[in-house]
Amino acid sequence: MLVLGNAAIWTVIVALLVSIGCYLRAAQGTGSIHDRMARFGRCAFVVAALCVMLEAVVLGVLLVTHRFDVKYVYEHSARAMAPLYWFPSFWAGQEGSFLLWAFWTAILGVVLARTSGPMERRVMPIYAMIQLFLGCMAAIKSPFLLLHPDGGPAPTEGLGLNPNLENPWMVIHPPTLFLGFASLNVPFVFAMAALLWKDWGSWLKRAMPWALFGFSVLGLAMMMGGYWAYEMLGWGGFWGWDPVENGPFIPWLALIAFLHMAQIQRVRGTVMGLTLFFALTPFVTALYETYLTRSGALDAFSVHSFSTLGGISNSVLLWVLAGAMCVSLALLFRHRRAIKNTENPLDAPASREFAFILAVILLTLCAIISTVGMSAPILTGLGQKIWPSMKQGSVPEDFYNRVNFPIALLLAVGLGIGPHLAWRGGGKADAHKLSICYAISVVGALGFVMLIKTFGTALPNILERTDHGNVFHGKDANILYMLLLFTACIFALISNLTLLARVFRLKKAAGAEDGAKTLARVGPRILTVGGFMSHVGVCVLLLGIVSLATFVRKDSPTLVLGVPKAVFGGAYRMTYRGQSGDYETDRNNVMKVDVDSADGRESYHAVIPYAARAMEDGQKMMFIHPAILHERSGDLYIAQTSTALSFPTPRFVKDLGMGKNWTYGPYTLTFKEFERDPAAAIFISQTGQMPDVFPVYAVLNVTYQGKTTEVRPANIRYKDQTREEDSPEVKLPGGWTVTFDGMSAGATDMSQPMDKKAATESAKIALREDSGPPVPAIEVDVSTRPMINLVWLGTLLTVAGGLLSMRRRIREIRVMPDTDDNPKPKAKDAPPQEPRRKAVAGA
Amino acid sequence: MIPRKAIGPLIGLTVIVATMAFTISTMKSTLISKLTFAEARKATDTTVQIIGTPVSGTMAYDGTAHALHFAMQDETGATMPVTFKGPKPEDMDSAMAKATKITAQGVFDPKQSTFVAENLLVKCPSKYQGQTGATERSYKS
Repeated sequence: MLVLGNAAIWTVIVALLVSIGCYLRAAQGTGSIHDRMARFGRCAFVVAALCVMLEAVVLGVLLVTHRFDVKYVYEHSARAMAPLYWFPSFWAGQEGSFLLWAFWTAILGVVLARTSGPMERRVMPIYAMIQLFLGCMAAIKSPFLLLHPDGGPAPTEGLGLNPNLENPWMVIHPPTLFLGFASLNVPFVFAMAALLWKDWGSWLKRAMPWALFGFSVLGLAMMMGGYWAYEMLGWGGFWGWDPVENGPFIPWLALIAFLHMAQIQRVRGTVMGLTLFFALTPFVTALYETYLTRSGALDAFSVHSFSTLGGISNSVLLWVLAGAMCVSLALLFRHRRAIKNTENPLDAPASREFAFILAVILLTLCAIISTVGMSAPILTGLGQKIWPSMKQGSVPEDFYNRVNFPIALLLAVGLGIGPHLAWRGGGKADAHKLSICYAISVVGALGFVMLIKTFGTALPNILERTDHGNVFHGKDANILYMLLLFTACIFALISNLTLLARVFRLKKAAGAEDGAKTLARVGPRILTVGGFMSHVGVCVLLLGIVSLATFVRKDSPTLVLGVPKAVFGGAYRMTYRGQSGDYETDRNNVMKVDVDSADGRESYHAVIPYAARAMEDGQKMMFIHPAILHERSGDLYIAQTSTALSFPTPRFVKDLGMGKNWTYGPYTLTFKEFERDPAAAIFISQTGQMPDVFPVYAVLNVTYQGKTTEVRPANIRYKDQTREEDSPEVKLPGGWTVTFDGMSAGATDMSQPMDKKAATESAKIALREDSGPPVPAIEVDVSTRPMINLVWLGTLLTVAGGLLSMRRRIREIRVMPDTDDNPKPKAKDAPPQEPRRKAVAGA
Repeated sequence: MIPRKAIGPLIGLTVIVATMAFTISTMKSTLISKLTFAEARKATDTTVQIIGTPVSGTMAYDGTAHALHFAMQDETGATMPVTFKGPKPEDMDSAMAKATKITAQGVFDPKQSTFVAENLLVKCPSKYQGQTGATERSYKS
């Protein structure tokens, strides 16, 4: 099996080299030799692709058959796992995720070879080079290495997965993500082919469906990742501006920029250089993000920086990244004359081109901001070398939210106005309609303001100075910003919906776009609304975000067993009903909480997973996940923070220094000394290890009504570190109890807690009037997630819109394969024209 | 006054310049710098970041104040007491006490003479023998 896997890795490399060579030879002309070379090239690529799939199959088989003698299988899987989680095991480590990326690249490559038509022999060698890079990564860091290369017994059980990865979303999110990354290759290779062979005419039309595919898949992958974080991680959010999240986000923005530029180019025949630039960018930025997250460069600053790749792989990645960037820029520079604008698309500010370009500018700025923020540690680290007074640092989430806000605002406004504008500014923008939209959005904004007032948050007094005297910070200002964004979104939404209605009604898209006749020929009318659907989706998404930012309510109650507690000012009552098992020993333990609304209409039984799970080395890790209650108007998000004990009578706690007295109520306590449990002491001296149960006693003299007795309350620690310390109550004469809560903490030197001679020692002693044992309780953070469904709905609409547009562009290629996307005069050394084919009638 | 042809590029340029200026100024004000312990003691008005390993035996949780206390040390051996307000981490004595690296983001409070952390990034020793990898956890107060 391993031999097969390793052989496949090397076959991939050889086959790809052959394929590149054949294709390059084939690209030199159009004779029969060249055609044959192209066929060989394709065969060799298919062989390589099959070998990559073979590698994936081999890894799968190794995982399923529990081959723990293989290092990768040992580190990422375990017999105790449910079979569903073999999938996350596949891509849990560096080698596996690179293999997944190579897998999708191979599949897409075969599709590309078969559908790129006359451009095949130009794009495929470049594509094969990308596949080769991924193949080399597999050769350097193979998933098929043995755990003990020099012999040794194979372990019977693997280390298993990080519990956070044992989630159905982790089964589908990574493959979708890497499919998206793989699809970024295609616009890149098309643009490269155009630059290398100076063929400006046929690349754009073919690259567009691929870009739309990538846009949709990456969007979907990001949504899945966001939902996983929301469901699993307990902080209630779905986007943290972390490098791993920015990774697909920035190429995604570049894709959108490309798609808009491409539209301008097809209609006006200009901005060729920028279109090429934006076709090259997604792949390069994806490589950059891969380097940042896998190389360990952000190690000290991000939770997500994975284990580092290691020296050689890091270098390969860096060189490929640098190479792709330099070659792209060099080629763009070299051909700058040929790809210059021949017309100025910005000649009419009230034209659709202008709106598109403004959108592209805003998207680019957003991408730059996110890249800069993500790279802040590296940038400041480099800056520190030049200016020693600068310190290396990172930016918090706040940075992204603040800086991206004006961009989001302008984009929303643009989304409203843009679709109403005509190409070349011909015909006035429908000012009348736009005014109506604006009026409606103002009404909507007033409604929003009333909602804010109803739900208890005060309106800002903008003349009032808050928060360090700066009126633009603080919660009140936040509401103002959200109000602006809300108005802009409603405006854009209504504006787009009126257009949608019009497109459906019109039989001919009169004057709205060039190529109207081809529109009519190409497929049913639904295909023309892809762009609009995506725009509407973005507005809906932004509305969801505005709602979350403005109407969230939080509470942190302590829920005592069986006692209903009012939260959110009485809107809901929560009652803790106990555990299903024992969280310290039961790995599937859950906490049960009943949630009832005040008006009695809603009633839920929430289940909060809360259990300690043993890891391979005996250590236990807490497995805590939120409970999410779904309602139409939003979610109720319950995250448990800890367990507690609730005492029926108050406790009085004191840090009692050694030798000191404490008088409270009818008692006087003197703390004499600490005492170790003798059995535990013997165990330690014999074995040198901690026993499973380790009690420490505080020896106290208790004086009550003139009589003095000695009591020894215990503080019991457990070797199993997820079990809480126990402080059993000791009854005192007179009906009170005393507990020894632990040794006092503070800024003192705690390194020698058992040294009886340390003068700063003190014990935490608690007195309580006894009226019954304590009752278990849990502490939770509850928050509302109003209108969060809009976030998921908006994203899905955006993705669907992309797919609809993709279908349309594919049909366009089939219907009119030879139309030149660039109606301007070609550069001098254009390739010979492909023979004309008959256009297929109809769709 | 402004030629019609130039309006477009002008608007575009304004947007770009304004955004970049805003970005740089926001970055300056929100940047969390990584400082040494000595520098952190002096920077008492901005959020900063310090990195170190926990000193064994100093990890303790104060139930009444809902705060975690421990001491950190850096490569030079200097120590810094840290306070983190929040619920008691369940793996306080195991994973946190044995952490190979803790990154604390917060601000130094000279009155309490302790670093008040808002955010902890804990890198725990990997369960894989001899591996360089590690599991990481983030605690936000």
